[in-house]
This record gives sequence, C-alpha cells and structure tokens, in this order.
Amino acid sequence: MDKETKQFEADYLPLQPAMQRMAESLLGNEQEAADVVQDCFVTLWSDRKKLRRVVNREAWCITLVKRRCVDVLRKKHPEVDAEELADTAAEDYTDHDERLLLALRLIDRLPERQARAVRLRHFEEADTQSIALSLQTTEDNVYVLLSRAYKSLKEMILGYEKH
Amino acid sequence: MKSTNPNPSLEELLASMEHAGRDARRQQQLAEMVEGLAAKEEAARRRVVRLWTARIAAAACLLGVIFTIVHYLNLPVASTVPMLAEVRPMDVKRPSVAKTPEAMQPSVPLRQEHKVVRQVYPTMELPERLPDLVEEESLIVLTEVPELAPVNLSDFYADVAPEQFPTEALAQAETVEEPKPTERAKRRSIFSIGNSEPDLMEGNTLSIRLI
Repeated sequence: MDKETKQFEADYLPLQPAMQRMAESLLGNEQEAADVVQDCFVTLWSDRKKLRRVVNREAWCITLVKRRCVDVLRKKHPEVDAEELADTAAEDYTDHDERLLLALRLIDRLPERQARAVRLRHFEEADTQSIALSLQTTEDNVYVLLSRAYKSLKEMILGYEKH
Repeated sequence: MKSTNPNPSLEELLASMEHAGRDARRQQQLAEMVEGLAAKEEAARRRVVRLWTARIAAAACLLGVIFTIVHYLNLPVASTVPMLAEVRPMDVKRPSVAKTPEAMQPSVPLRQEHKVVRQVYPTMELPERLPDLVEEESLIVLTEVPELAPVNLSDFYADVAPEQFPTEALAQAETVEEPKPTERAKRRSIFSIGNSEPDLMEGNTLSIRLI
C-alpha cells in the first residue's frame, strides 16, 4: 500500500460511522445507506487531490452524504421535500455515538468472560457456536454467560439513570 | 436539535454496539475497496507508461529504418549535405591596377599552385590555403566571372616608378616553370574552366576544378 492510500484511509475511514448514521437516518435503510456511503468513498478517492485543501473533512463528508441521500430520496419519492428532511436528520448519528460510548463503558465493568461474550455476540455478530469455540466452552455456558451479562448491564443502566 | 436520550435501554445499547460492529466491518470493506481503486489507478498509469514507451521505441525504430534506407540508397537528402558544406563561395574582385609593388606581394608565401594561378590572374585574391591537390578533390564556385582578357604584365607596371619596379619579383614570377604533367594530370587538366563539364556552369558562375 502506498503512502497516499494510507493517508487517505487514515483521513477518511474514521468518518465512515458518522456518514453511515447520517445516511441511515435519511434513508431509513441500512443497506441503502451503506451503498450511499460506499459511493461517497469512491467520489472521495477520485477527488482526493482537490480535498487536500478541505479543512473540515467531517463536515464536507456529511454534506456529501446528505446530497447523495437527497438524490436517492428524490428518485424514490419525488413528492417529498428531501432537502427539508435532510436538514432535520442531522443529529441522529450523534445519539448512536453516545450510546456506543456508554455501552462500551458499561461492558468494560463486566467480568472478563461475560464482556467477551457480549462483544462477540453484539459487536462481531457471532453465533453461539462461534462464541463457544472462541471462549472454549459449551453453547449452554454461552447462554448462561450472556444472560448474566444482560442482567448486570440492566442493573448498571438503572444505576446510571439514578446518577 | 434533538437531545441525547438520557435513559437508553439495554436493547438500544446493544443495538448501538451491533451498529459499531457493522461499521467496523464496513470500514474494512471500504479500505479494501480503496486499495483496489489505488491498484487499478497504478495499473492504468503503468499501462500508459508502457504504451508511450512502446510508441517512442517504434518511432525511433522507424526513424532508424528511414535513415538507413536514405543512407544506402544515397538519396539527395543525406548525400548532398556534406557536399554542400564543402562548397565555399569565393569572392573574386575585378582586376585592378596595382599601385605599389607591395600590393603585389602576397601576405603568405606562395605555393607552387598559387604561383600558377597568380600568373593567370595577377590581382585575384587567393585563399590562404588551397586544397591539397593530392588528397582531395574540391570544387570552388566563383560567384562572379572576371573578365578574362589577355594580360600583359608589363602594362600593369606602366605607371610605376622605375625605382619601385619589382624587377626581381617579376622575373621570378615569369621564370616559374610549370610542373610537368603527371600521368593523372595528363588524363585530367589542371584547370577546366567550364568547358568540359557543362553541368558545373550555372548562369553567370565560373567553376574551377582543382585536382
């Protein structure tokens, strides 16, 4: 991989979650949003030389995603004012980020095996068999680990709400 | 602006984790896509470089072939260039009456062939060095044709004072023996003034061929 590709990935790949959330909030479809984000990355790659002058890359990428989503919405629903919709959907993705931070913080407080089971289940989206293989235990034990983890997390959320 | 939900449920937290996991996988896919695009661009760039290299090489080969053909066929384009470089125009002034004996003396020692020419054209300006008669054959094109009237050397010194009269120089010039013709010279005359090769005579030019 050359230096330019590395630099591009370091600059723009971290912006993918925000772009994905924005596209999902506008389109209401995760797969369509992923397609739009991928399309935006192709544009970003082809315009990478011009983008060197851009100071706020995140704002530029979010605007690009919005415009692409508006184009998609206009094709699907010509009667809807897509631009107004785009203006109202700007903050949804920030909720996701804060929830994720909270979830990670709470999961870090769990016992090691429970935390690993939850991460494998919900972050990696692994099935019970894979989790059992990874933790070198039985599938029944995985179910037990996960149920105890959920119970602990609920208690922690209740405690978080009280604070 | 919507505020962040202060009381997220467990399902929401787990859903956000699942989102984050999918984002991580999508980032991986995007990174692979970007690397693929970069590889494709690099391949296209190399293809262009190869194409232009091949074009330049083909053009060079073509030029080489053309020059080779021109060289071996001795076409005018290539063959006349060195010949033209050897042809040097030489200004010839009309003969004028010498005022002093010094004016008659050449600035450099005369060679035998200079003396012969001097006898025929006493006041003509000669080049400092004539081409080697043995080694090469040169063509001198005169741009003007001097009037070749019969020359009587005594007439040139009619208005020269007796004490300035170059008796010795004149006597020496008149007693120069012409070289005996060699076998080669017998076949070809030393001076052929436009009478044997009409192709050398063009308009008002005089061709002197030195052998």
